[in-house]
Amino acid sequence: MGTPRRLIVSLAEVADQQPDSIKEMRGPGIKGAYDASETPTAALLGFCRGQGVEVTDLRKEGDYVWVDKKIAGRPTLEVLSEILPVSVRALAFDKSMRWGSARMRFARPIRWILASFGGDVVPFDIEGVEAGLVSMGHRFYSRKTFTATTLEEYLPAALEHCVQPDAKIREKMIRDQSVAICSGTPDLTEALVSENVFLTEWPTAIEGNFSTEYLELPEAVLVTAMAKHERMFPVRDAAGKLTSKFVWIRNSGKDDAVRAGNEWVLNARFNDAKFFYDEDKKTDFDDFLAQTDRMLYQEKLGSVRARGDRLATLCALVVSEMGCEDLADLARTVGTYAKADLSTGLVSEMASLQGLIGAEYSARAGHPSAVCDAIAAQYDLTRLFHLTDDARVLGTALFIADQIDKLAGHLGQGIAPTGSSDPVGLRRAVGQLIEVAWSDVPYTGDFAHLLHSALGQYQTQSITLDSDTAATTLREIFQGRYLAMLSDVRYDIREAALQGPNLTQPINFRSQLEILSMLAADTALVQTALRPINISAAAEKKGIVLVRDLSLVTAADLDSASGEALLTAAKAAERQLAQGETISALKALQPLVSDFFESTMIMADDPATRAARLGLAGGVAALFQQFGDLTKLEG
Amino acid sequence: MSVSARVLSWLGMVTFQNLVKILNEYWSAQGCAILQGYDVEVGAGTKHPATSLRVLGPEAWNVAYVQPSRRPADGRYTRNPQRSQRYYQYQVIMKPSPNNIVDLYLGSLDALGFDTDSNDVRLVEDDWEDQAAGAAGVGWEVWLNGTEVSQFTFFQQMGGIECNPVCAEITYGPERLCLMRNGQNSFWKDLMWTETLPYREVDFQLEMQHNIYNFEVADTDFLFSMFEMLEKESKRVVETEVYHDREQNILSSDSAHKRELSPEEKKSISAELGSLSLAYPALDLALKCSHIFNILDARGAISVTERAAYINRIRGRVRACCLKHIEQYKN
Repeated sequence: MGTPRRLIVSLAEVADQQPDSIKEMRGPGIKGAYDASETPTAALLGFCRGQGVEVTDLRKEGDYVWVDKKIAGRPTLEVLSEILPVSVRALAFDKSMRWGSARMRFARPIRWILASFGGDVVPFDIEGVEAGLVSMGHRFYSRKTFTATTLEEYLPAALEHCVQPDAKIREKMIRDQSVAICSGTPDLTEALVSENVFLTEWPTAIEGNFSTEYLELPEAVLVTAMAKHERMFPVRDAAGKLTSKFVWIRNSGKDDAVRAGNEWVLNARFNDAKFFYDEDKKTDFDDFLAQTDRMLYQEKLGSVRARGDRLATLCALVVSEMGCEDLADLARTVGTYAKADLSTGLVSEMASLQGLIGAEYSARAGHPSAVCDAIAAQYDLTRLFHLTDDARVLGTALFIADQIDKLAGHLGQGIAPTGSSDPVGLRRAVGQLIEVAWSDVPYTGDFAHLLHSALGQYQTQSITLDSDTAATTLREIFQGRYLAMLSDVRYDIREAALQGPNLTQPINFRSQLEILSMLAADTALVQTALRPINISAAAEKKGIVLVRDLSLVTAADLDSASGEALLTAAKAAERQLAQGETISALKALQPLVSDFFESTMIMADDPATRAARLGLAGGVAALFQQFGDLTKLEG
Repeated sequence: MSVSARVLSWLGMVTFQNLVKILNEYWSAQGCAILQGYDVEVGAGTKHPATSLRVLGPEAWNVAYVQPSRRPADGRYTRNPQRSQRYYQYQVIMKPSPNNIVDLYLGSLDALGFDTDSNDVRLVEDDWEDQAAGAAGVGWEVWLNGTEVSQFTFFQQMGGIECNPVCAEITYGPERLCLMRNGQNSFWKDLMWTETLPYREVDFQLEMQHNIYNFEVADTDFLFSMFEMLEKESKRVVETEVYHDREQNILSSDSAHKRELSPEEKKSISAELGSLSLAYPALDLALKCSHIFNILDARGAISVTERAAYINRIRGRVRACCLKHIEQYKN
């Protein structure tokens, strides 16, 4: 359990004492322990003194003498006083700090410690703070201390001092009270509720009002100011429209003073936003678009306006790849206007509103709602995944175009993530591309091809980039992302997949991973597959050129019945694989591969026969290897 | 008490001047020396050497001061009632951070008349970083009924150098506190410096004209070359050798005084005369670089990628000063 000011841990059923234990101690070797007359030597007597035992306590076993030493269990209180300070110091936080003259790190300074076992203080101190039986009440409601020796005592005492230590109960208090006092429906989003749970020890919901003149501001502005900046819950009416009310969770103070203060700050924020909104209203959306010509996207990558042109072409390309050529014109509009809001006053003032303001102003400029929705979702995958129909396709196209244009522009300049440094967020960009490709409206294309098109767009704008570097680095980032995203997949399967084709085509990569998992479970099949794989690799190592193409293998040249059978079956399997029947097709080959390798000498003396047999091995190997590098699989 | 003073206090209002006076008295009673703001343009009280250099040493250091602060990008030609390119920060430094520092801080809110029984005061997690100063801290924003009224930071590093011991830094926005306290809205319409003198009377012309200078008139070529010159000069100054003139017991850059100092000698000179360096003047030059960068940034004259490079250059200068400054504590 915990609150913003305290962490609480309780362990049930802890014994008072450690059990006694026996520790086997090895003494000197028997030869050195006794002389010829079986009298204990000085070495043995020394060992006995050291261990505090008599010679009669010893036993011989193997070449040594031993003693079973009894170790008395220590009282739990004593052990705890050693363990607790170590455990507290060992707690790790995402971000930790030092304070005063203390050398240790913790989330925030430690100000008091209550540590109790069986009614007694567990004695220890951490950076000068001594453990005791005393805790603190609520910082403002109950500026007092209280004592407790057990959790059963602590919990009611905490409640008496206006501290609800249980986060689940605080969450329920926040939800129930908010609904109860609210004149409409509060937007109780999960994240905001949970943030409020950890801003409070004793939550009380109050409702406040802001001036209705601000209701004309775009909804995104209102919601961002309330929910993001002020941690308030916006309030909606029965029709789902925002009202001029908000719900705020206070942790101290009195309703009227707190409400007045909140209303003051919210009105001030809205007043600020309204200034920019009113200014923006004086300008056409097309003029904002034109103004982005004077904004640099990146030193070598031209203006934000030029970027709009590239995004327009890329968006159109992606929608046709997704089988929606009819949306190509709308896609061009989406791409062109996507970044126009960067020159508006509201976005320059509240950067987190980018996209949302673009959508708002696009709608005012008369663009169709699917275009506006796509623009709104360009920075936010969750929002994108909630879109449907045309908006979803356009949104997906813009999201992909935006990321691939960024990747092409930066990777093509040799700007790539290194170590923990990824200032432009290129790894994140690739991770999100994978997520988009795997979503319920999948993108089945190959991002390497798209990167190529994006580089081509730069080329048409006379921006020269290094395509080879970009392509290679893109593959590396994909590999890195898969490693991070697929940490629960067996590592050898992951490795095998990363060596396979389809790296930049996440949809195929995923099915490839599934097939590899099935293959990996069938050890015998993998073993069989490794025979043609290894022999063709060995032949290539020797400099023999292998054409891994079954159609070029002439059955007669094989001079082997089992070879001919395999060739026929492999060609059939090739067709089946193309139709998506994988495991069954490969499985069917297994006995024939075994027969061929057992009955036939691949490296035949006759060159034509040898070439045909190697060609068959190579072709079969290729069938298996199209899902990844099977030699990486274990077992 | 004048008539207007009586009217204000009858209304329960506080002037800007009085607010600062209350804070001065409060922190003075907590053992802080009340210093004056620094006389070089800075973006925040943190840049004052009383913070930027003095948070690094092992000595106890408890001070408070008002720092006029300049952030060209925040200028709104006075059209935003609560935002301007030059405003004031009230800064408190206590090193090492006392155990009851949060209670001390809450006491200052009560002293200002924000009754902590009636108002909601909360500490909201907020970690602070000033890349150009190589400074980072962990702490909170303090919210009073939802308004951020202070930044509360435990300094972890400055100039990229770890702070040991760690100080607590508290920064108040006195204008906004004053407005909140009085239930008012605007720097330019409501805020009173004294009972009779509006804040507007004091700072309006300065604010308006600097907005025009920053956004319209400042010559960016001139500023770029100033940046280069100041950066170079800061580097030259911080790298200048400083010697001990034994005869007069002062420091000097005259190499006639160059001699090997034993560790004991060095220690006793440092104890009496401080760092054998020009960390302070080099820091002034670095601070000027930082201010010029801020004007250029406000003008949009610096692209996103160049921005990081300029910030690195400023950090390099500030760090060099910090490193020179802490040499006196070694041995």
